[in-house]
This record gives sequence, C-alpha cells and structure tokens, in this order.
Amino acid sequence: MDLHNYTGFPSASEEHRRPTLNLHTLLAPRPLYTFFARHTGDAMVEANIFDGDLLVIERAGDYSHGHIVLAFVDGQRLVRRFERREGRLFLCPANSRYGEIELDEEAQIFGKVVHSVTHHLRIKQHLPTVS
Amino acid sequence: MSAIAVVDADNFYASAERTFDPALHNRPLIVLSNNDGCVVSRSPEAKLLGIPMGAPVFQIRRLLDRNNGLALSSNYSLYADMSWRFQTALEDFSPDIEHYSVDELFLKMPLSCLRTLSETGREMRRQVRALTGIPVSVGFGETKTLAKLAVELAKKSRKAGGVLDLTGSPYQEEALSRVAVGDVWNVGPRYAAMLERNGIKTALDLRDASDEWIRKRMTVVGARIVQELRGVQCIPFIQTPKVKQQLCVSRSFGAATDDLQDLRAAVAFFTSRVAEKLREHRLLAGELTVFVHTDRFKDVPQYAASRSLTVAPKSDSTLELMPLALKGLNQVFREDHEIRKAGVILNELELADSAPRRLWDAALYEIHKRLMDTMDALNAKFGKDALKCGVFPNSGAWKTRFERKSPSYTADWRQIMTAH
Repeated sequence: MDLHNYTGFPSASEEHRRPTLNLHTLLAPRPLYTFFARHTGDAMVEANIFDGDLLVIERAGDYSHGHIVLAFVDGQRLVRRFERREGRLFLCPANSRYGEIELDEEAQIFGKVVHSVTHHLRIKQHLPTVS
Repeated sequence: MSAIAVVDADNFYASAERTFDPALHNRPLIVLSNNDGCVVSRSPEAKLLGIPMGAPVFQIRRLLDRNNGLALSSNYSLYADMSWRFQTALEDFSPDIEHYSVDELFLKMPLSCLRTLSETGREMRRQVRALTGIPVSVGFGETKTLAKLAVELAKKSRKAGGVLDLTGSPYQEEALSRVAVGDVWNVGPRYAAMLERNGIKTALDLRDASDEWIRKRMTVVGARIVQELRGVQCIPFIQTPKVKQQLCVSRSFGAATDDLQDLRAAVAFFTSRVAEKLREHRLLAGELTVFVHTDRFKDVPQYAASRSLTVAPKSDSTLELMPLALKGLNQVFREDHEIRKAGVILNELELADSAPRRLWDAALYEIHKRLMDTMDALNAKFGKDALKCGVFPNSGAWKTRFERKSPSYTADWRQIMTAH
C-alpha cells in the first residue's frame, strides 16, 4: 500500500503484516548446499519415498549410518539408505524386492536427502520431462 | 607480508557436467562452444587423447567416438549456478574477493598464524569439492601475477596436489625459471615473441630484465608485469563490473543456405537475441554490424562480407534495431553463395541511464520501452521466444545445431535430476 497517497487512517493491521511464509526457508534454508531431484521407482517405499517425489538434497562432507543419500553407482543415480557395518559401506533399499549394494572407491555420494515431498493431486506439470 | 590467492576451477564446464551425471564419469568428455563449433572444455581423459582446446568438433569426432567419448553443448545456466556456488563457498576465506571470471577468482588472504597458506589452500579445495563436486587448484603469491604463476604450476605438478604457495618460498626462482615467458599473466603472444627474440625466455628472465629496456619495449604495461614478478603489487583488485564493449550473437547454420528468406529469419533471430542481451545489461547500442560468410572448411567459392550501420539515436529497442539489421543483410547478400555463418554485432555501447534523452520520437520510444519490457517479462516467464519480433523462416536451416545439452538441473523444475 502506498501510504503517501492514502488519505484515510492507516489500517492498524498493516504495520503488523509480515511476509507470507515461504516454504523454501523451511525446506531449503541453505541454497548454497541444496539441490533438487525427482525420485522414480519404488526402491524406497518403506521409507515413505514414492515414485515422483521431490527430493531436497544437501551436499555436505559427512554421511552417517542411516542417512538416506543420492549416490552415483555404475553410471546411475540411486537413492538408498547409507549403512556402515563392520567397517564396510552399503547402500540399502527400503523395499525387500531390491538387494543392497556394497560401496567401493568408485562410487560417489552426491548428497543426503533431507526432505521428500509427495504430491497428492497428480498434476502433470510437477512431473519431470527428462530422465 | 600479505598474500594473494587465485582459485581456478579445473576444466570447469566438464567438471560441472560431471557433478550431476554419473554417466559422464571415467570417459573422455568435451564441452562445445555455443554454436557447437569448438571445444571449450575437456575432461582429463579428453586431454590424454590429445584433443586440443579450440579444436573444431568435426576434426575430433572420430577420435572421440572410438574412445567412447562424449561431446556436450554448453549449458550456460548450469555453469553460472555452479560458479555462484563455488565462488560463494570461498567467501569464508577472505572478505576481499575479486570475481575474475566464471571459473576463477582472486582473494586477498588475511594474515593468520593458525595455519599455513598451503593448509588453507587444501581446505579451500576440500570445501569447494564438497559443495560443488568441482576440483579447483589454488596458487598463492605476493602479487596477482605470482599467484597466477603458482596456480598454473599447481595444475601441472602431480606432487603439488592442486595447491602451491610461492610466498617467501626458497623455490620461487626455480618456479619462475620453469614458466615460459609467454605463459606469464598479461604477456600476449606478440610480446612473448619479441621477448624470446631478445633472449628473455622464462618468467625468471623477465623478472630480472632491465627496467629501462622493458619500459621502452613494452611501455608501462610491461613495467607493471615485471614489478609484479618481483613481488610488488601493481595490478589492483577490480571490484566493479566493467561496461561491456561489444555484444554479438552469431551461429553456424546446420546446413549452408543461399535463401534470402532463411537468412532474414536468422538475422531477425540474432537481432532479437542480441537486443535482449543489450537490455539485460541496461545498455544502448550506437552501431549495428551484420556479417555473413561461406563455409571456410569446404571447397566452395568463398565469400565473406559485413556491413555496419549507425544506430541514431542509440537504442535498445528490437523494433528499431531489426530494420537496420535486415537492411544490412540486403547489402551483403549475394545469391550465388551458400552462407554457412551469420551474426549481428552491437558496438558503441553506453549505459542506458547515462545516455542523453531523445530530442524527438521520445514518446514513441517510451512505447517501445514498455513493449520491450513486457516482451522480456513474458519470455522470462514462459520461456525464450514465447513472444518475438521476427520474420518467418522457410526452413530451420539457421537453427542452432545442439549436439546434446544437459538438463538445466538447477534452473528448471521440469529438468531436475531423476534418481531411482
């Protein structure tokens, strides 16, 4: 509202108004560290990550046992749970139909999944057009 | 003693592509210039194959195919985003930063007794790698020129591990003696040839050259380089972006064409693009040049021509630039030659805010400005070319041949990575 041209009394509520909540400040507060990806398939259903979910991924040095990560294995991008057992590293699915993968030096972890966002209306524009 | 760091990304475009796509790892990868003409970035595997920088793609196509290599078109929005991440990551290390180019920056290093510069350099590498996946090399020196020299040596040496500190180093002379004079920052090829003819072959020779002789042969520019090599800071940090001198949009056509209507469409397209750039930089242009030429690599009758036209008063309106561009094209067009490449160049650029007001047509220009603002806003919202001022083409011969462009992973929700 342009108060200079306003001739009546200013509304009392106006001075209390603050910017509307922006989901980015909650889900991706650190844009420098944050990347987005789209999950496809059902390898992580038991961790409540579904086909078509939007993933918020943070890149940062350390990954702990139990983090869900985006990893590069054999030229593919995989979302799996990162596990450390007896000094060995594994990528574990959250779906019994998939097997776990032991990580070697070749494999790289892109980042950890900090949120997954499920869309419930199946609106096409939210779906990826490239794979 | 103060030190300057230069941080330089290794194979920036190729490295940025690899951050997002594991299928690009462990194989030769090159990135091509924006009309897919030449190599502008190479992965280490591509360098090992002996593919030179700037090579035209057709010359290296078979070599690349035989070695399971891949060529990508430039994805500038992706590189700009990754450049922002990599350069911002380094702000923790110094309050004084000069963003020198998309893949390179200078930092004035604050004094610290907590760790050595080499340790700091390794920490910079680690942080940039963690945030962006992009490998960088770091050089330290008393001046920008020495820092640049250090970073070039750091890239070449396996032992350095990507970091080299030349400040107060007992090896400084040895390092300078290993760098050819032509590889010293700001020494151009012509000065390099002149220096070599006079027995000045290395950076060390240049450092120890006579001041008087250098000033006579290379003016104050050369004197500054020599001072910098001696550790005296002469090249200042530049904080403000420079006004651009020239804007150009050009393309090599997928297939050569002698059809005037095709060429008109192409030139209209180039004019729209270059005018967009002009407005993006808040500039006005005072001169417009149209150029065309035939395929230089083919055995056909060669023809090249350009025509420059004055834009008066200076303008940023596509509607005012377009008729000039088409007029220029008519003057250079020859029916008997197949044109392979064409482009539009804008010169005599001036900041729109500092340009004099128009004496006549001011009201019309206001309308143009509002129309252009609206067009740019619509194109920003609905994608490039949602709305354009143009000429209809007969065929698509002039369209950019995109080799293969990676998705806009960071700039378009429909193109983010997929992972299963």
